[in-house]
Amino acid sequence: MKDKLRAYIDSLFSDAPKTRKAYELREELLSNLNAKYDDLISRGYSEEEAYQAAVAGIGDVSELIAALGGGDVFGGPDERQRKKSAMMVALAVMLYIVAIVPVILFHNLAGVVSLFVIGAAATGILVYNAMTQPRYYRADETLVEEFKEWKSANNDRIRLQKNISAALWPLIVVCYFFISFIYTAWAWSWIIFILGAAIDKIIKLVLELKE
Amino acid sequence: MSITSDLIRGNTETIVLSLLRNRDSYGYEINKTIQDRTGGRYELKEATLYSVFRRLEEAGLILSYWGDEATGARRRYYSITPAGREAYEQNLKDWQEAKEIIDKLI
Repeated sequence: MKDKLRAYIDSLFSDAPKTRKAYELREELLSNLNAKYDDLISRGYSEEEAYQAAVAGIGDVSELIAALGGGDVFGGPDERQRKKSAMMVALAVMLYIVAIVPVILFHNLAGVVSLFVIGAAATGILVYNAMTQPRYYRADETLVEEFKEWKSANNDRIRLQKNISAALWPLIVVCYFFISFIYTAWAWSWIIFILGAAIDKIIKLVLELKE
Repeated sequence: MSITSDLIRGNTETIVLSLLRNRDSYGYEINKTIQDRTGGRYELKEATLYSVFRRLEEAGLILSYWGDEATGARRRYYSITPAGREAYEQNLKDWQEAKEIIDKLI
């Protein structure tokens, strides 16, 4: 008869999400029903009567099970956040383009310095944008949820890396031309690219180690 | 008198809090106590009882933990918190006041 009770509970929970909360509610319900069943038997009920009484006492659990329900598990960024994020990226791109103007206008150190300053501001905006993206938090203690969280954390890091690389390479190219022209150092200035690649790798490594 | 009337249902949370005042307990034991004290005239459905547990737990009025029974299935015990005791005292006062008023009116 106890197997029958368990089977009945299992059928009640057939549509429930496979989460720890649902499992705990099922265990709790089952242990209480078993206690009731044993109690009724000890009071002289027949097995069938005890089973019927236990099942009849459950009531409507559909609401309880619905309350466990998955809901919006992958709560993505809302509309407002997406708009804000798009604005920041657009602003950063605009700054990158504008940054070249002073270099073209003034062929001197001031032009280059302002290029770096504007470029740094744009990079800052991109990095800030990447860091403030909503992260995914586990909705429940399951492996799937853990995987989603890990994937989200991983995506964050990759996004940050890409943004830094994207900002780094134009700067390296500018450095190359700047140093080459100023010091007419075409013979060896290509080394800047190797240095740049090394810096890029180091940034990636640091980000990975920070995990 | 309909024993499942709203009058009683509106007080299930206070009833559960009251039963947990003396010692920690689990679902069936609580329901059994309710039955015994009312001479079998009142009994909560399991579903109602768990909804009450969840609500009280979310409100921080009770805590739950799994017992470690040597035999049989594990039981989930509930324990009242200090905030739960406060809520109980307040609800009791409200009830006594309401009872007094209603007694005078009907």
